[in-house]
Amino acid sequence: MQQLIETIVKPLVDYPEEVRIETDENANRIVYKLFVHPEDRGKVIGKQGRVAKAIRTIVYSAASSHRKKKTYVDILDD
Amino acid sequence: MKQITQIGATVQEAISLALQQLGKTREQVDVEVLQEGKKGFLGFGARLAEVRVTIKEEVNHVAVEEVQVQEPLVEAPVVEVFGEQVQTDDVNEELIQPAEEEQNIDPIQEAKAYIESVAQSMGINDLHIEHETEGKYTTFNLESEKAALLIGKRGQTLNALQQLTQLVLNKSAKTFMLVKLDVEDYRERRRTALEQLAERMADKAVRTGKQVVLEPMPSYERKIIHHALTNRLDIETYSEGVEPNRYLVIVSTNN
Repeated sequence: MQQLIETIVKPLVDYPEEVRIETDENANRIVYKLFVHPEDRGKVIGKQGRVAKAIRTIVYSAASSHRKKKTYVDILDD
Repeated sequence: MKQITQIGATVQEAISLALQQLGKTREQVDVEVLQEGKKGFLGFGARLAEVRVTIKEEVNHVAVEEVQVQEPLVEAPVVEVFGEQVQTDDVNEELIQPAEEEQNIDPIQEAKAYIESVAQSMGINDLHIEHETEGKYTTFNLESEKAALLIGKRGQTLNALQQLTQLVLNKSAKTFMLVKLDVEDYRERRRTALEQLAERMADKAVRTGKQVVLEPMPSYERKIIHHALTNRLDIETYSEGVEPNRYLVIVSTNN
């Protein structure tokens, strides 16, 4: 799943080498924390969060076919 | 260095006219868009596109030759002192190659590779993609056993992937491009379903005399419904709300 997020995000940004994903998992949910270069943050969020929404849509649909756990994608500041 | 400026109805047209005049292919020239074309409205405000096309081939040769001429001069002392000629050579080759590769990447192929890699990470291994370009529209037709996974509920996964692919394509494309993704004729089936829904909901509006509110849909799906109901005189359609939650309303015009 982490690899899917990287595949989606890297071609969208100007600094692909600075894309970093951390996971935070507990018994009933898993959170993928996405870190990008500060200049790229707008690109992965998009106007009105449009890009962020598209990323989540794809990740959630892939996640629901993989595992039962609830999945979240957060875009975070460093 | 040969350079010409060319006008045309669209940027694409201006470029191909210029290429004809020069007898060059798209890869052999640099294109600078001086003015984007505008269609205008009913002939008002229309503007021709203007591009400046420069032949770049010769310039490149000169640049590469210069680098090669300089190399031995710089290398020689290094070899004598350290005896590391092999390594030095490798570095030089790497320096020259990236510049050539960048010019050869086709934005559409890049977008195609993007779709493929995203689909693969989603667990779809049998994806087959065909693409066709018409003006600024590029359509990718996808085929897979697991089409349902790519489409998602009401096509939302497909729409999301379409949106992201458009971003990737426009990141490297010179002119603005619109991307359309389709999986095994899903768009056509959806159109039929929406047209049937439109008729049904219009009948309901007339029968009950109340307005019928549809669920939020993307703009082109609303367009299909508006279009399907233009011939009906007993109802009116309009859209309300703000994207992405804009929805369509059907009202009866009787009484």
